[in-house]
Amino acid sequence: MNLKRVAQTGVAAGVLGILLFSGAASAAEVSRGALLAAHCESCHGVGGKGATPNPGISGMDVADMVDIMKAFASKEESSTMMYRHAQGYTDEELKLMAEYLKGK
Amino acid sequence: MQDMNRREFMRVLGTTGAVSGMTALGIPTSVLAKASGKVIVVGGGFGGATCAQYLKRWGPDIDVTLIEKEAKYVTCPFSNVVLAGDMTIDQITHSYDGLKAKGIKVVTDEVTGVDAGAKKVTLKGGGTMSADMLVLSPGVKFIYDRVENDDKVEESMPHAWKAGPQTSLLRKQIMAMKDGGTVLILPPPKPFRCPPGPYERASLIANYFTKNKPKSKIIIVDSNESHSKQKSFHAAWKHIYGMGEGKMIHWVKETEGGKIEKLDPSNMTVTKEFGDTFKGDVINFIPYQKAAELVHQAGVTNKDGWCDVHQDTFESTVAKDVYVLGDACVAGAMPKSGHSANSQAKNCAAAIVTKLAGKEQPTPTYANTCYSYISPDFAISVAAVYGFKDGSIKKIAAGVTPPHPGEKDRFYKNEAKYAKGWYKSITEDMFG
Repeated sequence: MNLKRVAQTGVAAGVLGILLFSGAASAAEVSRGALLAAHCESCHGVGGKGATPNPGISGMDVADMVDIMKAFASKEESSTMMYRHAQGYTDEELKLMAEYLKGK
Repeated sequence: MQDMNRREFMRVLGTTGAVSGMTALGIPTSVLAKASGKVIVVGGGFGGATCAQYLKRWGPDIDVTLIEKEAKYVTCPFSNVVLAGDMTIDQITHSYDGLKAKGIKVVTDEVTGVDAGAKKVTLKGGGTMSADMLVLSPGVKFIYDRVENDDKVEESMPHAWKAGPQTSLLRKQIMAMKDGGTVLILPPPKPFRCPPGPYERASLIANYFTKNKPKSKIIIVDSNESHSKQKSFHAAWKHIYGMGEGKMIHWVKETEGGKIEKLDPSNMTVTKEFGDTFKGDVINFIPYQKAAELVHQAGVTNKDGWCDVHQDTFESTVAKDVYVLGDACVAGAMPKSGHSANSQAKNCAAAIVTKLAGKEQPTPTYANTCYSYISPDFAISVAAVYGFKDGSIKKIAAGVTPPHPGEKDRFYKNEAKYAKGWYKSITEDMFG
C-alpha cells in the first residue's frame, strides 16, 4: 500500500481514514472475480487495459461482456483464440469476471 | 510492517480511538484483517515474478522478497524468433525495476541451499534469509548420462533451452552454416519444458532457410513418438516449407530407430539405439530434464525428480508453507509452459494472501495459452482452461488451432499478431 507515502505527505486525516478503511478491507480479500479476471490479464494487459493488438476489456458493460463470451463459446461470434477460453467458464464465472473488469 | 503502518496511521489520525471505534461499531475484526507476513520467492521467471507481483497486489502489507540469480531475465518464449534472426535478444530481456517500484525487494543472488523446515535459504553471496513462507519457482535442470557424451556438447551442440548466451551461440552457428547444410534438432523424452518449442524452432529456422539458404534442411530426431500440436505443425510445414525425407523439414519419431544413444561432437553425428546415424552441420541437442537442483536440495521432489504439490494452493505435499510453481512442479493436466506457470502463480498468491489474512482461498481457476510461430506471420496455438477437481488440476475446455487449411489463411495470420499481444501482456504482468 502507498498509505505510508500518503501519510508522509500530510493529507487531511479525514481522507486518510477512508483510505485506511478501504485499503484494509481490500487487502484481506482476493475475490473469485479478481482471480478469474487475473487470468484475462495475461493476454489483455494489466487491469485488462489491452496489449496491442489484443483489445482492452476493462470497463465493459457486464451483460455485454457475458454475451460476447457466450457467443465466442458457441462460435456464433468468430474468434481465433477466444472460443477455446470462453468454453471453459460457467455463466456465473463469466459474470464475476465481467463485474471485476467493469470496475477497472 | 503492518504494525508500523498502523502506528503511523494512528499518529496521522491523531488518536488510537479510531481502531477501537471501528470494533465498537460491531464490525468483526476479521473483516479488517490484513494479510501480513514475510514471503520469499526464489526464481524470477514466469512463475516467480508473477507470484511476487500478485502477492504484493493482493497483500500490500506482505513483505515480499524475490531472489533471482540474474539481474535481467531473458524469456524462453520468443527466443526461437531471436534464434531465427527476426528479433534481437534485447527485445526479450527484462529488468526487475517494475517489481522494485512496487515495493518488492529484489535480491540478485543465487540460492545455494534451502531449509524447508525452517523456511530459510542460503545465498551464494553469503548469509541466509528466512520467511514465514517460501515460494520456489526454479524451473528445470538438465540431467546427464542419458546419452553418451551428453555432458560434453554444450558448446558444440548448444541446447538453447535456457534463453540467453546459448540462444546467441546456436544462432551464430546457424547463421555461419553453408547453404545446403543440415540442422539436427534433438528433443528429449517428455516431460520437458515447453513441449511445442522444438517444433516451433524447426519452423522458424526453416523460414530463415527459405529466405537465405534454400538448399538447407532440418531433421528433427525425436525421442518421442508424438509431439505437441502435431497435426497443426505438420499441416503447416507441408503448406509452407515441405515436409518429409529430402524436404526442408523431416521429422523422425522415436519408433523409427529408437532413442538417441550417442552424440559424437568430433564427427558431428548422432546415433540412435538401433544403429541409424545422422550427420549435422549444426546440432541442437536438448538434454533430458528434471526439476531444478534447488528443489532436490530442499527435499521436496518425488521419485521422478519433480515436485508434488497440493494443486489448489501449490504448497508442497511434503513441506508445510513451502510452495513450488512452474516447470518444477507436477500440475495435473497443465503443460510445462510459461503461461501455465503464470496462471499457477496467481492461484498460489491468492492461497498465500488469504491464508495470511485468515480468509478462505477463492476457488482455483487456471489457464494456458501457447502460441507457436510457423513463420513470423503465420502461427498456431493451444489454449485450455482448467479447474481443481478430486485433488488435481483437470481440463475443462481446450483446443488447438485447426490444421491448415481448416481455417482461412487470415486465421493463422491473426494468430501470429495476437501472439505478439500475448508476449507484451504477459511480460507486463510479470515485470511491469
